[in-house]
Amino acid sequence: MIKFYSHIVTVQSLIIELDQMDLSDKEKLHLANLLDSTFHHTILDAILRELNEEDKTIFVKLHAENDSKKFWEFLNKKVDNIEDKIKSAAAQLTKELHKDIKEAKGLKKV
Amino acid sequence: MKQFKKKKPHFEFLHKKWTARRNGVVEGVLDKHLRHVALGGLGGLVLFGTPGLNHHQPIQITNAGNQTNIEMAMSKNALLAAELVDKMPTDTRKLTEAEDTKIIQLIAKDLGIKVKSEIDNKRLNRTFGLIGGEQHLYRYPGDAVFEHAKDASDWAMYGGAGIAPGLGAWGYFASSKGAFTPEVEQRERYYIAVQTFLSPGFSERVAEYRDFYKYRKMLVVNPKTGQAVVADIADAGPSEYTGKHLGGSPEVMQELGLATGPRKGAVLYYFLDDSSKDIPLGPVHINEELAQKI
Repeated sequence: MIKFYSHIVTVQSLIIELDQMDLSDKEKLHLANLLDSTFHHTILDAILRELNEEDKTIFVKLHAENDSKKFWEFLNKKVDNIEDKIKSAAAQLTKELHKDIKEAKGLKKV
Repeated sequence: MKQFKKKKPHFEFLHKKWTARRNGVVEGVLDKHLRHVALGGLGGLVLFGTPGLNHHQPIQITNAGNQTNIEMAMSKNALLAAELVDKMPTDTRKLTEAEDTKIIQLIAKDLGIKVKSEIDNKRLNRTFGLIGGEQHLYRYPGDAVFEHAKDASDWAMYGGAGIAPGLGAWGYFASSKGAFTPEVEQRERYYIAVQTFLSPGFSERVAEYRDFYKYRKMLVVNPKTGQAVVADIADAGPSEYTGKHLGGSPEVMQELGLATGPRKGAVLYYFLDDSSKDIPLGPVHINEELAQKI
């Protein structure tokens, strides 16, 4: 499956924060999987809300085909400033996740 | 997750909050957008093919007839491993030419990849040896270990290996971040370090051998499991005193099934024949044409 947004979305700032926390390898992987999955579906939501029912079907088909060029051509044709909309959704999520991490860091061991 | 409670409230907090958040957004995508998309399995590809949750599987085969991809891949893994059992020595000694020949034939038959122990009269000191886990390598000036992660799962899997303080044998992979390409990224991701300096004839023709080895593709196989990865030579080592014969990047070790525990194990390693040189770096994926013949 293509990660079609990797050139415009980065989770590096969150990784750096998580790396500073006392986490085992399994815990790291667990949180990392949740984080990636949340980004993925948040970005899907940001795109799909801009498409009508027919275009949603085309989007799903193109996504499964793994043809990045064709995929982006379709999105750019159907949605104005789609990259900006994806970036904006990712930035908002990043902000919320940073807030969660900050809150988690403030918790003390029982 | 009970074992994490009390000891690590920060983990427990994030686990609960992020699980709920993830579930919420997945349900939202389903309910709001894909309820009426009549695509069945294709819809599932979008929703469940989540990056980070399933991208570190062993060898995969596409178009595998009546078997699922995973079943087919596992059967080929198992077949290669089973056929190698009586051809491997019990210790990691050098293989004889006759042993290499039999193994090379098996690899061609089972994986469809042509390999050689010698090209242009150049060969490594051995084709069977102990591989150890290496660190990441700097790819361009200013590179950092966090830059190596494609996503958070990638960081969790491979970030812990750290980054080597020195450069690889060929220096930086790219002269600058601007010159860094996906192809270069793959070179570091799937690199191995081999004992180039122990090659017969190396000391007499250093420059010639250096050019020969630089980013040359090799197939590395874990004979116990049949897992295989196409890697490129990006560093020289390890030193003889370590008792190891080659090193693998964190990703190579993962694909060989050697990323946990002592992070070492006995592997076979051969040069890719010219006819196989276009096979991409990474875990071996048997192509559609070959899968149909299996």
